[in-house]
Parts: sequence; C-alpha cells; structure tokens
Amino acid sequence: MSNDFNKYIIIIKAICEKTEVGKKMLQKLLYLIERKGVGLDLNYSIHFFGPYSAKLDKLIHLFESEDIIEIDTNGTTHKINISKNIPEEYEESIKEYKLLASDEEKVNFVFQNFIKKSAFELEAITTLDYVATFMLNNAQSDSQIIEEVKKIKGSKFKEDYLEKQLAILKKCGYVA
Amino acid sequence: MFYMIDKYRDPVHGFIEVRSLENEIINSMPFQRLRNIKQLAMTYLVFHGAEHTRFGHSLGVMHLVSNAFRSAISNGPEFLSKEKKDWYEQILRLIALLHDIGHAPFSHASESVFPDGTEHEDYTEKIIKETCIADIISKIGTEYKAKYGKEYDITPELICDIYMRRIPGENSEFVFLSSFMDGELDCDKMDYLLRDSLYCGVNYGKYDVQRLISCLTVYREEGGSSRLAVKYGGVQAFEEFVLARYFMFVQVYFHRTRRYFDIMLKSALEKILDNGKYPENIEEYLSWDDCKVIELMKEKCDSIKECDNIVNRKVYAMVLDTKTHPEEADKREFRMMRNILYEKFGRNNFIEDQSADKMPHKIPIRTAIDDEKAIVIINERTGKNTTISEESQIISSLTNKINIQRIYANKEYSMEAEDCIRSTYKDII
Repeated sequence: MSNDFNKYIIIIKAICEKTEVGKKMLQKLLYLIERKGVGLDLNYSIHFFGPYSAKLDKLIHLFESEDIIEIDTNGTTHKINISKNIPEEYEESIKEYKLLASDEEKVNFVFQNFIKKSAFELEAITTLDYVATFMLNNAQSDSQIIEEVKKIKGSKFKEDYLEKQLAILKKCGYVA
Repeated sequence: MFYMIDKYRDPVHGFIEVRSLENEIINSMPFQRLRNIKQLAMTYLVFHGAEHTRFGHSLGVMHLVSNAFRSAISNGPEFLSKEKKDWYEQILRLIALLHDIGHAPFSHASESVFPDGTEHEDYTEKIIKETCIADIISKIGTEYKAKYGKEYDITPELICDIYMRRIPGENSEFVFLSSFMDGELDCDKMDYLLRDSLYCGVNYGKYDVQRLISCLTVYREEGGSSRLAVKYGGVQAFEEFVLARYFMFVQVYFHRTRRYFDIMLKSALEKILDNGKYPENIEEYLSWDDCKVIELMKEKCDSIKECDNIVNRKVYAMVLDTKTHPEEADKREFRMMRNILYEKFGRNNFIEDQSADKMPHKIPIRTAIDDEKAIVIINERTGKNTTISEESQIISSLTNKINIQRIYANKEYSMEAEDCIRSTYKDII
C-alpha cells in the first residue's frame, strides 16, 4: 500500500480510537489537520455541511471495500470504525508506517483542541475557516467573515455562536 | 433573447431545444471534438452499437437538467425569485453542456495518462476559460445582465466555480445547483444510463425517467439551505434508477472484455504518447481524439503489442474471477488459484484486474441523511425524511461492495490455465 494511503489510515485510526466518528465529523477533522500543514492533498470545496472532500469520501469507501474500516449503518449518522480483521497485507504495512514527528505534533494539536467537539460545532468552525482562508483570502474583518458564513448557512448558526467559534480558530492559529 | 432556435434530434430524448448562444458553443471546435470521443471507450469492441459519443450525451444532460430543475423548483417550497430561476437554469444548462468538454480520447479509459495530479475536470476548466467558449459564455452573461441587472452576470469563472463547488452562493444555493450534476441522482447519470443502454442494445439501464424527474423536489433545511430531494411517491422510480446503475455496472461498464481493452489502451497510450502522458497545453490537448489514437495505434501495430491487441482484437481470455460481491473466503480462494497459475505458467502470461471498486461508474453506497451527496426522500404524510438506502430494502442490500477480481491469460496458455483451475477445484476444493 502506498505511504499516502498509510498516512490517511493511521490518522483515521487515531481519530476512531479517540472518539465516535461519522463521515461528516471525519471530513472536518481531516480538514483541520490538513489546514495545520499535514500534506493530505484532499482538495476541499464547500458543500452543504461546510468543507467537503470528494476524494476523502471515495477513500472512505475504498478502505471499507478493502476491509480496513467498517461503517456501522445503524442509527441516523453512520459510524466509522477500524475493522477488527484488517487483511494481513495492509496490517503489516500500517504497522510499519510512522507519521513524521512534525505531522504527529500537528495531528495531536487538532486532537487536543477539536476532537471533543460535535459535528455541528466542527461544521461552524471549518466553514468559518474555509470562508476566511479560501473565499476572503484572510483579508477581511471578523464581522465580514461572519456575514459571509451567515449568507451561506442562513440562520443555522447564531451570530454570537459564530463569534465564539471564530475566537477558537484564532486562538488555535488558523485565522489571523 | 433566449429564443430556442435550434432543435437536435436525439435518439434518447427526442427533440432537444437549444438556445442561440448555446448553439454557438455547440458549433465551436472544442465542443465538436466531442463527436470523436466515444462515451464508453472500448466497449464498442464488445457491444458493437456502443459507438455513441460525449457529444450526444452532453446535449442530453443539458436537456435533462432543465427538466429536472424546473420540476424540483415547481414541486418544492417557493424560495427563488423568477429572475433567479431563469438565471440558475441557464447556469445549469451551461454546466451540463460543458461538463465533459475536457474528456480525453476514449473517455475515462485513458485518464491514467493525464499529467500527474491532473483530472479531466482540470482540462474542462481550462477549455472553458481559455478557448472561444469563454467569449460565448460572457455574451450569455451580458444578455442576463441586460435583462435582470449586473448581479445576474454569467462568466466562465462562475460556471467553473459552481461546477467545482468552490463557491457556495447565498444560502448554499450554488451547492444546491451542483447537486443536479454531481450526486446520487444527477442528470449526468440519468442520461448516460439511458443512452448507454440504448446504444449497447441492452435493457439494464432503462428506468422511468419522466416519473423520476416529476418526483424531484426541494428539501429546505433548518437555517435556510436547500437540497435536492425526491417525493416519497418517487421511491420506486429512484429504486429502478439505482438498480439500473447496478446492472449497467456489472453487465456493461465492468464487462470482462471491455475491461481487458481498457487495460490494453492504458498500456498502449503510455507507449504512444510523449513521456507517456497527454500534453498539458490546451491547444495540443484538444488535437487528441479517438480517431488520432486509433490511427497511431494502427501505425504502431508491429512494434507495440498492446496496439496490435486492440486494432486486431486479440483478446486474452478471462480464466478466473470472483463473485460480484466476494466474501473474505472467496477472495482467499481467488488468491490461492491465482498463485497456482502464476507459479505454473509464469506471472507474465497473465493480466490481473482488481479495479471494480475504483471505476468512475460507482454503484450505490449507503448514505445517511447528513451525507453531503445524499438525496433526501421527503415523506410529506409523516414528516419523516430519509435517504434511499434507508428507505429501500432492495437498495440497502445492494450497497454491499462490488469487488470483482479477474485474471486474464495469454491466449497461448488460456486453455491450459482453465484446465489447471478445473483440476485444482476438483482435487482440492
């Protein structure tokens, strides 16, 4: 298996070990990890629930078809778990693969700050970051960022809620 | 302004009406090139009728997207002004018309020889922005500005940004638009299933398109964003559509001989093209079509085995395969048989294909309501909203993995290889 694949699996495995995760939450956590500077090449674009990577969606289903992950479809949101019976050839390759120390540090940073957040919170946080970084190119004020998010999300998130999440992003060094 | 001035007689949809500036796009060189890009690559070497091209498909998708958009909007809650409806429909028609403009010769089958990190959508974007098509789109934009005001402009950048989902628009309305072109139930799939089915001479891809489109509606999320949805009464039409995708995948898109020729084509192109890749330069890229590749392959038949295999239809026989939905035990058995064959006849006499799960014509997957690409099923009576894999027993059982694995043997050894498999099954299993 390629090292790129190993990198995705190692990170997804670490997330699954720390929290119950569905596809939406996984999308947002990997977005934050990529934005911290871990090279994942996931090409995020904006979607109904915030930043979304079609490539990651395909990878999740590829990993499922290779028995690396399992998707539990009971319940409203499908839960992702690492398979209990990963095929030997993959297991070996995953065991041998190590993240770069600098990447590991960035992943842990995201875990410390965001892993306990709900999918709803992560949707607000990543949408704010996407708008500030990719749509407004970091050149706008807080109120302009929030206005833009409100345009996209309508009344889904209240203004003071967005302000609070933007402050978290700033504290974590995502938005200047 | 916006008069339908031309009609194209389409084998799938009957007459397709085209607006005057859209017709200018159709008559441009980059679009006419699609007449020489086969929709189903090498499939015509198996289903001889499959000579249809991306040209007809693009017109078909444009026709369907207008119908689908109008139906969803008229069935759903009122949330768009008259001006926006007209503007969005035009944007969707342009996206639909141009969505395949960047396809390489033989469509998806030759995408592996794109320059590193490039996909056909990247070529699409360059063609829309850097050729005469950009000027025609700008002319359409000028007409819309004159009609409704400057905020109703249409530019090549806007078309690409919406198609590539780079900008959401107000209340995610652009994301809503793009779901007509990229989702569980999009107009691209709606057209190609019917078209491929007709031209291949098979019935698997047929479904009730009129019923399906008439059941489209809009689901308004809390907060105001809109998603493409299906009325509960359309569940069976949706099931039929998903089943059509499943059967077309198994019977046509992943047909064993078609896959063999796809593999041959990839190898042949790696040897034919400079540096084994298509050019990045758009003008050069646009000079490549199926005819050019076939001509080159004919010239190279004596020196490149893969060209000879395609041009003279020399087929490796498939000697081993798994079930459509293999269990772990089936995969183990396949690996064991494969190893016996390789040991006895030599690895070089075989071709292995394990790409079913990586094909572009993906089979349905299970979706939860908060999946980005899920289509919401709206049950107005109960107020409960679900997805097709939750609603339909048939579909939820279909969403198990398709993971066909195959081994093809050099003609010289295929009979012996088949005998070897038969005797091994008899002796061991």
